[in-house]
Amino acid sequence: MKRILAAIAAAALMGCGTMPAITPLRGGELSAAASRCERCFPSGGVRLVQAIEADLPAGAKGSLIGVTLIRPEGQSIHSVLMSIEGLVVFEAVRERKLRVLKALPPLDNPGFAAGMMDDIALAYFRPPVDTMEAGMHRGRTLCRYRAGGGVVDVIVGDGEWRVVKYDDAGRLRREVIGSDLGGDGIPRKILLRAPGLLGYTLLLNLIESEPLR
Amino acid sequence: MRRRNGAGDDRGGDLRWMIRAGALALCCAFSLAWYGSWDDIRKTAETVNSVKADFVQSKHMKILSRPLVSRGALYFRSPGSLRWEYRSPVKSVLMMSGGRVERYVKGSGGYVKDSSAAIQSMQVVVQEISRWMKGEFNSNPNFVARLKGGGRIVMVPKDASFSNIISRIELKLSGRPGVIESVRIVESEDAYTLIRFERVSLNCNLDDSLFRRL
Repeated sequence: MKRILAAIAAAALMGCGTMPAITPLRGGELSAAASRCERCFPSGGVRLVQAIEADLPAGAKGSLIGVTLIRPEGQSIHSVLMSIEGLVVFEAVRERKLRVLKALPPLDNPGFAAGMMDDIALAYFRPPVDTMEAGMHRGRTLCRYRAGGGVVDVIVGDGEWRVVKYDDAGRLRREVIGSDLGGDGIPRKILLRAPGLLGYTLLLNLIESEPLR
Repeated sequence: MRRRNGAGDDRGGDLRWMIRAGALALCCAFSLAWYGSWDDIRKTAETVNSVKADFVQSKHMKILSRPLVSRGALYFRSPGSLRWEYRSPVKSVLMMSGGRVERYVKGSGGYVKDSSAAIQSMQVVVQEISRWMKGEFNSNPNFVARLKGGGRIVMVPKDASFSNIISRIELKLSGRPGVIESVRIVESEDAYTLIRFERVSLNCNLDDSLFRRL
């Protein structure tokens, strides 16, 4: 798990990956594309229980069970990580600000909590947006959200979605792929890649999900 | 339905009552002998060479609307071989043999050896489980263990920093000598893990490969 922290810290050093060019859509086509992209993200609160497989730097591998409450309306996240045996190793809530309720070493670095919440937000919340354009890329709908210098692409098609985050220099920071979509629109599998020398990959397999009242 | 008639039937009824009362007294005496004191427990556990059981683990937390249930099996062979296997929802096998602990978790590409830091903490856990299987509930210097009535054992961590992780462990011994009925690991007032053992077999023949191979 120390390596997870190291990998997240190393995310700042990542490079590689370029933003694809798109042919912008206009008018009705643009709003239809925007709707398709927004349907990738839950419209209401949801509780997710997932098995997490982590591929870490230097070939290390680890497994955890995650329970996450997501409320898009307030952009709030409540996350618990536990061992397969059920011991809670991490719990944090992000509403207006981040509160770490429990963090066993080596997950007690505040950088870990913030990085993890950013990853969850990237996968489940519509990206923040100042301006949005949409177009087609390799036969798929691509929506490009720009805010605060960063760019997030949402690419939809063939029964999966892809969320790709770039920094203000256009370098790839994160890639999230949601696949095996259920009837409720929740992906049964989510693959999160943080590229770079100390990059990591997380595979989240859905155990159960339920809407929050 | 049988007819009741005369003194012979009364004597039969008395006899049956005496047999039942005697059996009950024997059961009570036997139960007391098994978990009446630490020594009784240890002596009984010494007669157990191996244990095979299924378990149902339910994780209770405020964040969950209902407990998260995991199922698996436990194999123990004295003095220190253990296999703790989850079959659902995540398949994983933890094996201890000759003091070496390994954990394998089944992911998308089959079983993968866990090489994260978590395996070090699991070493502590499996050693503790091995202690319990040998009836050594009060031998861990990190816990204060108390034997309560009805076969309940409560273990409280001595170190305050550890009690932030686990506030106490409650074990319930079965009426059947040498058997643990359940383990409740309390992390906080609203988070605990309950493990119930089922279909427990004692002194069965367990192959070496159970503790060394997937």
